[in-house]
Amino acid sequence: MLQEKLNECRVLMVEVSQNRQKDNEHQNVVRRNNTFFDTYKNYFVPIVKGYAVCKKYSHVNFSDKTIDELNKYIDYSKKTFEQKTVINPAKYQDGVKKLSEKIQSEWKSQTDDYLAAIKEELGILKLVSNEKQEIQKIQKIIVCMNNFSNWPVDENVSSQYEAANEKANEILSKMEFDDDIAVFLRKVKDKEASLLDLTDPIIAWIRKENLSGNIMLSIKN
Amino acid sequence: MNKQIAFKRLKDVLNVDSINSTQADFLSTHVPFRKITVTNDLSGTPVSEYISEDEVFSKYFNNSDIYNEHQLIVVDGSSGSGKSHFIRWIEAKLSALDVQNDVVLMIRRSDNTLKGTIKQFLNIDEVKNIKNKDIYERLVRANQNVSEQKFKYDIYHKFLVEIEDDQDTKLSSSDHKNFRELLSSSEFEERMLMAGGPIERIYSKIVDSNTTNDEDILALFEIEDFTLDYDFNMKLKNNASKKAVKMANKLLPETDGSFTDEECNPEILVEYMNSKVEPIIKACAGLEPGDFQQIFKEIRQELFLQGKNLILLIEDITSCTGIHRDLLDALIVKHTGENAKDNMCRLVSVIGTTTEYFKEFRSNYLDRITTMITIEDGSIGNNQDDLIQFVAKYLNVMSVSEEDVKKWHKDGALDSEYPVHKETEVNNWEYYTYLGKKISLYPFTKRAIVNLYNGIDVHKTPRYIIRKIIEPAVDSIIQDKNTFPKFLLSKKPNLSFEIVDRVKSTITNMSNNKEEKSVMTDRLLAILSYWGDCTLDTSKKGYLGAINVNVFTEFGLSDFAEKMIGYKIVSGKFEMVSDVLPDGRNDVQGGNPNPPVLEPIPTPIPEPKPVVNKAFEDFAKILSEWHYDKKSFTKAYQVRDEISKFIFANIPWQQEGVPLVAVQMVEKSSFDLVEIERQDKKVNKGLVLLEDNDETYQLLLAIGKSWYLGKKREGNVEYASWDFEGSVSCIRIATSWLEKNKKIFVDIVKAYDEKEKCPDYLKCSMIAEVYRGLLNGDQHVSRVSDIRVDTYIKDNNLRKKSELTGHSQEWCDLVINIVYANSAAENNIDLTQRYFNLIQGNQKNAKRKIINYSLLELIFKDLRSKSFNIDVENLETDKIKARNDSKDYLKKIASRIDKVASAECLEGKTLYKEVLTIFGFPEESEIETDDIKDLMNEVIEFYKDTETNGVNVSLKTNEAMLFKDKGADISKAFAVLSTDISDMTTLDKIILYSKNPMQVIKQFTGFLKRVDEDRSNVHSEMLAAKEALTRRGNWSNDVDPRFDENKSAFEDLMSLLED
Repeated sequence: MLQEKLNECRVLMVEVSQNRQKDNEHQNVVRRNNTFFDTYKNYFVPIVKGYAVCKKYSHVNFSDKTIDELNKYIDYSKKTFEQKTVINPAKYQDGVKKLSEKIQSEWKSQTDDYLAAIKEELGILKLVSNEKQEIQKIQKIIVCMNNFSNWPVDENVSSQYEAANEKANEILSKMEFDDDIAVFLRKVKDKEASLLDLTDPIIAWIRKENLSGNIMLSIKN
Repeated sequence: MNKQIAFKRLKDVLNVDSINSTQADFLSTHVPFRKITVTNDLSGTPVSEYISEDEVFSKYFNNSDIYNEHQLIVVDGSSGSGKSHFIRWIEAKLSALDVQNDVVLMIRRSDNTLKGTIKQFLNIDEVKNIKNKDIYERLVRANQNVSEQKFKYDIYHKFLVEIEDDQDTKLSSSDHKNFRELLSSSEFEERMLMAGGPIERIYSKIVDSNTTNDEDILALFEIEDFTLDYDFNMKLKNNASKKAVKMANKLLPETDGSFTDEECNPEILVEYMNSKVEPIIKACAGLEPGDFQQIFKEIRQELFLQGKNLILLIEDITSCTGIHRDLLDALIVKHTGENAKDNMCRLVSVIGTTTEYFKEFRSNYLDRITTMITIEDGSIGNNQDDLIQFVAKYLNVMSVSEEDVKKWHKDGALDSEYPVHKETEVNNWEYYTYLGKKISLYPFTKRAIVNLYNGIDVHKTPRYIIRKIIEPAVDSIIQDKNTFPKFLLSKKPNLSFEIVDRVKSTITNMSNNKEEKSVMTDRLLAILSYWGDCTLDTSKKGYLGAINVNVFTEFGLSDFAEKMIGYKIVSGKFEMVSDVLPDGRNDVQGGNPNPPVLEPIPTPIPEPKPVVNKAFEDFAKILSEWHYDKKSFTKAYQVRDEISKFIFANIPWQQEGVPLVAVQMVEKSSFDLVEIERQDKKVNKGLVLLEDNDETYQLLLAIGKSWYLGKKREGNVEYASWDFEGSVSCIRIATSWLEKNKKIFVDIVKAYDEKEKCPDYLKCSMIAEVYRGLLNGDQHVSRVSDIRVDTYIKDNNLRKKSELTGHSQEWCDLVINIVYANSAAENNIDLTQRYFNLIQGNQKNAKRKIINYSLLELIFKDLRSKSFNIDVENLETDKIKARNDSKDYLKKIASRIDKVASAECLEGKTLYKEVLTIFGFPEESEIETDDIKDLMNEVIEFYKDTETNGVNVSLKTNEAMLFKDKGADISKAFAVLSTDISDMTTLDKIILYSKNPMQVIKQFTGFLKRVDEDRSNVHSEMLAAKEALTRRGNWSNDVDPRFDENKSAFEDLMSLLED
């Protein structure tokens, strides 16, 4: 193997050496080509890869316009590779950049909405949890979910999200709150809970779960 | 002896207070005093002469020339020397003279109290009409109704009063006060009044006691009375005043027996107290000073009136405490001169006194004593014949009936009619011939009498001869002749150790029970000591140790005698010729007042002379009690250790096939080579148990002698030697014992049996050395059979810890932390080398070694045939710690070796796979030398290209050339790593990796990795350069190459959207 690699390297060296000896004969063409290939590598490829991953999630519905734009630039790219000639690369560059922003925006807003409820429950659970290990686990899940919301999504982020989602459901299923408690905890989380919210069932629950050290009182200015 | 008569008359005849025995018994047992010292003119120039008792009598008592002269004769001698006997004999002679004009008065010892003495004077017939007799008799009866205890208190308190008023004392004022306080304390009073104490002694001299006082006890204080002890002082401290305690502390002796205060100590206090005794005795008796002299004067005047003279015989003035000064003052008063007007009778007084007591008054009365007769110790026994005659007469008279003796006395006590008893116990016992008559000496013999006399350790006086010899012997034989001589059983026998040992040894083998044997032993030792010549000599037929064998038969000891002489003693006819005495004199005819030669009694010298060495005697006692009485073996551990030294020094170990290193291991061990049965220390800490038997006993004895009798010293080191008298037999015993038991010790030190060729510790050492060599890379072998014996004899420099780079961490840890830790490897190598090293001469640490190669090879081949395998875990732990060292060493290696081999092989396999990957070869491929060369050629070319193309990289062409040259070695190492180890033993795996193939491969792979790194850098650099050239439009064809380069990736991308 090393032997082949060495050989390959030696060929490359020869090729570079030869290229160096060539004159710069393609000044006009090469500038357009560079624009195309830079846009292609830096924007187009991540958009397509991300879309390929995202399309399997039903919680997101990209707009028709976005889909149309995507298809348009796919076709453009195909033609360019087929003809090996780049036409109007500046337009391609602007269009792909905008498409990237659009698709990122749609993905993030819809995904955040989709994960808000579960993330809130996890946040409450983190507040009332006494076990450091469990808190760390919840934190890790929330980080994975946040990563999932960010664009571009790749296979790795996708698989991490799915594992985290599964764990989150598992944790939440173990500790179920009744509505009153959930409301109370939510208020606590949002710093809106007052003394009046400390009803007898809430106090009994706090005592039962041994959470008196986790919930503090404060006076508003 | 006639037992029946003797049983009745024993006490009467042997009553040593000669005044109490009958006149007949007295005369029939009297043996003349041959040698009496008579001294005249004590105040001027004393003239002494030695004369017989008859001469004394005729010169001073039956001499008309001095009949009317006043005489004061002092008879002086130690306690029991025969003073009483002599005075009694004077009385008997005087009564035989039948002098009409002399009144002979004997003041007896048994009634010699102050009042008793006065009473005896008043009882003389001639003075019955003396004036004032009623007053005197009332005086004598005074205090008779007072209880003993009260009287003693009175005496004690009189002392207190006397001291309280005393103004003329040598004691300092404070000492005087403190002493009074001490005397006043109840504790000290109790001490003074206790039985046998000073107050009781004084009391007995005041009261009219009927108790027989045999001893010449003084009614005085003694130093012991005022010598206190710690316990008493502690008791006093709790109860008495401070002053009393202060005085008591002065009377507490130091450890050396001295006292702190020279002016106030027991001696000073005794002198002080004794100065008060006489006035107190008189005060207690109710006598005033001058009373006694007045009474005595009136008695003499009464006798004078009757025309009679007085001969006063005082057996013992010692006992006349309280009046002795008054009495002496009365006795010195002459009837002539200025006293003639008092009309007193002439007085001849004879005063018996002990030499000690005589000193008390000697100086004051020196010019008044007319004659001093001194009876010295041994005046009876200084002639052998007299001694035997003395004993013979007592033995005879106690067996003659009282009637017969009295009849003989009544008939004039004629020598020709001297009654001799008939021996009823045994016929023909040894006899003493007195005036032609044979007196049986049963149960003594002449030799026994002489030896027993020599054995008396205090005064050799008649009283002691009777008390210590005749009485206990006769008492013993009358009670039970089978326990005779009971009175000697507690005495230490005067026998050499060998004799004692032979006796004990012989008795041990007899069938009697333990107790009987013990008694029999003591009896025989006593008989042999005193009846015999302290030997077990059997050269004279019918004699054992110069004792007629019939004596043994008579005392029930014939079994022993027969064992010793080797034939049966014919019972029935008892014949016993008179014994031959040590001085050669025999059967001397007694009764001759002037025997031709008066030789002193010789002190028998036992043959052989008993060993005089306290330490050895103590040891012999311990040994004897261990062997015969089955007691613990104690204290004499030096002897046990000497046995070990003797064994180590005297077995030719190398000749016996035992290397000296094996000997040294045992020598230096905490376990002793030998342990004595029932030793009371270091129990079970010996390698060979010496059982309690005759052999061991004899060995201990022999070695004990070499230590105690032959001990030498060099500087501070003591060592045993055979340089002592009689060592030859000891050497013989020790060497023959060693020869007999040599194999036991050889086997113990060898530490292997016949089935084995060498000890386990050596095997372990040799196996460990093989592992050490392999792990350290010393062994350049490919299989077990390649290992050579030379491994063990190569230079130690070639065995030093080598470079281990390349091996697995486990391998390195084993070598560093176990194999070479704390000089373990060196010690193990040393053990093997020393084991096979034949030491020449005394140079134990010679640099040049002479190896027992044939033995080494033999053992090595045996181990190799078993693949250097030994069940080390199940080897028994040796008592000798040094023998465990190599076992422990091998155990440590063996416990890790499997893990090390596995780790090494695993790492080898991993490395091999890595290299295959580098080469790009499939698994289980072989890498051949050509493969390596090809790769190295490519590397060389690569670097050449970089150089050509101006790529900045560090060239490794030379290294590649080197590896190319080492291609064969590398491929061999690869072959090792690729070897299938699944069926290999641990040893095989260790051998496989012992040449450190991973070191070669790791170096090689390291190089390849560095090359690949260079390649990667060059490749990246070239790609970047190529891309830069492309972006500048420098490409070969007309079309931008990037379309082709990215086409396939684009197609893949598009395929993602297809699902």
